[in-house]
Amino acid sequence: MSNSTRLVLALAVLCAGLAAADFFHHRHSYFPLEARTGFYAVFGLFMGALLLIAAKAAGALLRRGENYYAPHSVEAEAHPEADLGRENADA
Amino acid sequence: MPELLTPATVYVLAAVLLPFVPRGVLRQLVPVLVPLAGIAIFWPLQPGTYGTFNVMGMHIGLMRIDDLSRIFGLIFSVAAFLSAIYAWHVRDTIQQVAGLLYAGSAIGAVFAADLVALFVFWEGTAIASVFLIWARRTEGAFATGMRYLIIQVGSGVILMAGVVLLYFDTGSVAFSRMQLDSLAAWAIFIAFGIKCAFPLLHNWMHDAYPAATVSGTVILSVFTTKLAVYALLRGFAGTELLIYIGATMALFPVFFALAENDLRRVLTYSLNSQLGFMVVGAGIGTPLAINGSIAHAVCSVLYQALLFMGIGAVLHRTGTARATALGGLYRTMPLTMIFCLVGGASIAAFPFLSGFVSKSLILSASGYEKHLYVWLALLLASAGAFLHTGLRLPWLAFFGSDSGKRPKEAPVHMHLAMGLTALLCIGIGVFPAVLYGLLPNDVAYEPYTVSHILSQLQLLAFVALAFALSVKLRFFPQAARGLLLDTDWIYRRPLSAILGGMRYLVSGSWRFAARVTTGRVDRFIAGVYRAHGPQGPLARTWPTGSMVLWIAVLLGMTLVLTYI
Repeated sequence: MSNSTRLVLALAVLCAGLAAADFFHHRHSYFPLEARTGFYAVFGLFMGALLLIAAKAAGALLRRGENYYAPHSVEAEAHPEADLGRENADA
Repeated sequence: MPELLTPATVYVLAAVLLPFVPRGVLRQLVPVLVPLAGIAIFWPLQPGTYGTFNVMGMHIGLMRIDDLSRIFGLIFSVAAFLSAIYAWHVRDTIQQVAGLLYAGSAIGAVFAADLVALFVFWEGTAIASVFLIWARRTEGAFATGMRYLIIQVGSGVILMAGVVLLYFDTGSVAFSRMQLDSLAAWAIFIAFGIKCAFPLLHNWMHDAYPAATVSGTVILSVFTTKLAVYALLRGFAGTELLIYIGATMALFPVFFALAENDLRRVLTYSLNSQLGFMVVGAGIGTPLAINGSIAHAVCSVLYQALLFMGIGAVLHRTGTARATALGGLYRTMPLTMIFCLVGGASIAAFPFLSGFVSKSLILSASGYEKHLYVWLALLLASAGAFLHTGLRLPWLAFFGSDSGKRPKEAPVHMHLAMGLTALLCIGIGVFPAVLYGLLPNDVAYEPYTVSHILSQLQLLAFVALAFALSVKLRFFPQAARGLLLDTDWIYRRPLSAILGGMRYLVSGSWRFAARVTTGRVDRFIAGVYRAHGPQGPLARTWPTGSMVLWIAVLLGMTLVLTYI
């Protein structure tokens, strides 16, 4: 099992634990919707996924080349060296 | 005699004198010490208005000290101090002077008791800040700065128009609560809205902020927008429209922040989204909501500056802030990574970090007022903030696919600035009572209840799970080169094409009209020349005989005409 898989599994276990806490703690809530068991878990997972999908779609729809606005934009330019302090780490 | 010793005067004076200070430690110390001097001036003052005088029948007040102006003055001063430490390496006089003038104008605007003084400082922030963009000294930065300046000065002009109308309506220029019931109030509201980056009025921000210099962007991120939030709180608290504007504002930059490649622009979108929370708070207008809005402005100044500092340090060392060119930097920039993670966790509102104690106030206020959809929108924006700034940004810069870059750690002064800012983020999160004690409304609020902490942790953990799964499935967050179109496309492409076409038409018809007219004038002059010139028949010298002959002819004709 790779490290990343282990990390995702650990996160899933943590999520399950936190979600299970809903059964033991009655949430003080502002709305009936929010009071439902597992609201934050479901909201977090699904809305998170939804945002990622929507952002992917937005990116596909709205992305243009870096030279799209050139020369009137900084996207097509390199950051000027005078403003930088480039240094590499000692090997 | 008005007391002229205000924080703004100190900043302006320091900016004027700075070029004459010998280069070296002394010169670098000036921007660090000035904010401290500023705090020393206003902090001990009792509430009231100082520096008052009359100009042309208008009552001007330069220093209004109350709970609202005091806390904004404080956080602006702290931010100016921190960003001056961050910019210790900058030897560019223009940036140093512009930074001082910009911070001084923003602080001056916060303390302005009337709309005329506010206008002066309002334009001051616009004009001073553009030099932080132009300091990049490239063609693109010049064009970007121009666009920024036009919009910022435009906001000032609209503000001026509103102030003039208000003065005619009421005879007063005092800056106090207003209702959206007159043209004057609407003009002022829109002027504030432009600087606050309301949806559709926001595009100057993501256009300009990433175009500034490394330290310039940090300074820019602090003042302009938070000044606008202050102005909204002062002028339009409790305006219901703000709730819906704020909710939209919190939500829609999220998608851009999740898709954008330039990490400084990601942060600009995330800043825009955080402003939405503050605007909602201002709109709800209850004491708790107002407190929340102010607290969130304070926390947001800090964690947003921290994030801009972190990504700025990456840019400083690698020469790029593009996600596609970064990745795997945790190996050689571990401290910067940690500071970015603190900033990211703060914006994501992890318990015991600053975002949690301020965002909760606004969410609770919308909950108490039963604004379900607004509350849901804010919750979604919170989840989004964790995704784009807490997870995606550090992932792309410091982890993710290895870019092969092995930059050296950020310079010591940058670490110092980031460390202090991170400490403040943690300090406010752990001791919220200190921040709450500075807020104007006396509202008892406990952010750390089991319900709050548990629900927030659930939300964050599941959002993180969604992110981790998407990374695992290679669905996200691969960055792609390129830029995203936003609404500024309208004036950068079709509108500029239409204007270009109109210029072509106007200049074409002008050329045509000029050609026709000059042709006619030329012909007329040639005709006159033919008649009156040296060779013209009317300029010839005539012999006396022919003159007598013509007179005889004329007399003869007169005689004939008389008898007809």
